[in-house]
Amino acid sequence: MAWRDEERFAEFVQRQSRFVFRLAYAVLRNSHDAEDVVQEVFLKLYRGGMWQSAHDEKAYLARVAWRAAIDHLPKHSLVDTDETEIASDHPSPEQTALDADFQRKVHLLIDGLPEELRQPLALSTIQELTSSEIAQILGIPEGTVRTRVLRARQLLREKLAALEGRTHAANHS
Amino acid sequence: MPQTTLDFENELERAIATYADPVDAGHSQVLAARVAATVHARRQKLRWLMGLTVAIPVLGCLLIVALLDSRLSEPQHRGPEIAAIPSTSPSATAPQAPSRSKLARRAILYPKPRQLPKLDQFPTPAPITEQERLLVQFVGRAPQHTQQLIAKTQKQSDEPLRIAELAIPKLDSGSQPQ
Repeated sequence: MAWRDEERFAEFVQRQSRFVFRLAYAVLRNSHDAEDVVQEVFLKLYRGGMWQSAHDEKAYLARVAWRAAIDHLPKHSLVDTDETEIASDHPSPEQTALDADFQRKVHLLIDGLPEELRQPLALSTIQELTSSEIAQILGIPEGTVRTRVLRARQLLREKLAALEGRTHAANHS
Repeated sequence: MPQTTLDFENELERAIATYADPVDAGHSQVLAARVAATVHARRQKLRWLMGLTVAIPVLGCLLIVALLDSRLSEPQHRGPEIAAIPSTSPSATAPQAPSRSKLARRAILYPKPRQLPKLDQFPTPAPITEQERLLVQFVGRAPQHTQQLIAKTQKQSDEPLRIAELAIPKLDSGSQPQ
C-alpha cells in the first residue's frame, strides 16, 4: 500500500514539478531558490497527504507553490532597475545579440515592475494558468488580474520605447 | 531591436512568455528525481523510526520479564533455609497492602510453619535427658545403702533450708584485751 502511494507520488512529482518550478521561478527569478521551493512544496504535500484529495490538483498546487515562493521572497529582493542601467547594458550591433538583449531587457523591466503588477504578469506567462486561476492564487478578482496584466504590458511598452529612444540617441551621438 | 510595430509586439510577447522559463532547460527531470529521492530517503528514515518505536518497547518488556523471572527463580535455590525462618508479622515488612498476586507468590516462597496444638500443662513434659537416663541406670545398679543415701540426699535437697539464728555478743567497752 505504502509503496503504491510512493509510486503515485513519484508520478505526481514527475508530472507537476516543471509547473511548480516555473511558478516559483516566475516569482523568485532564481533557479536555486525555485528548486528549493519545489522541494519544499512537494515535501509539504507528501507529509500532509493532501495531494491525493485535492479537488483541482493544478489550482491547489499553484496556490501552495505561490505561497511558498512568496515566503522565500526577501523584502529587499526586488530588482531596482532604472532605465539608465538598462540603457547602458548591452549596446551590441548584431541582430542576434540585439534579439537576446531585447529579451533580457524585457525581463529586467518586468523585474522592475511593482509587485502588484509583476506577479499577475509573471503568472500569466505560465500557459497552464488561466486568469481565473491566477485570481484564485493571488486572492483578487479576475477582472483586477486582467487590468493589472494590461497595465503591466502598457508600462513595459512605454519603458521599452523610452529605452529605444535613448539607444538611438546614444548611437547617433 | 524589432524594426516594425508588429515585430515589436511579437518580440515583446515572446520575451514576456519566456519570463517564467529558466535559462537552463531540461532540469525538470533532475529536479523531479531529486524530490523523489528526498521523499524516498524520508520514507526510509520514517521506517527506521517506526521500527525503533516498536522494537524499544518490545525489548523493554522482554527485559522486565527476564528480570522478574530471575527474581522468582532466585529464592527457590535456598528454599529450605528460608522456610526454617519463622515468619514475621506482615505489617512489619510490608509498608503497604500487597496485591493478591504478591500474597500468593509470598505464600509459595515463604510457607508459614505449622502451629502445634495448645496443651494444658506448662512447661510441656519432655523426654528425659541423657544425664537423667545415666542416673537412673546407676541407681538401678547401686547397692541398697547407696540408694538410701541418694534418696536421703534428694529428700534433703527438697526440704527447706534451716539456718540457726546468729547470736553475736555485745562488745564490752570496759574490758581490755589481754
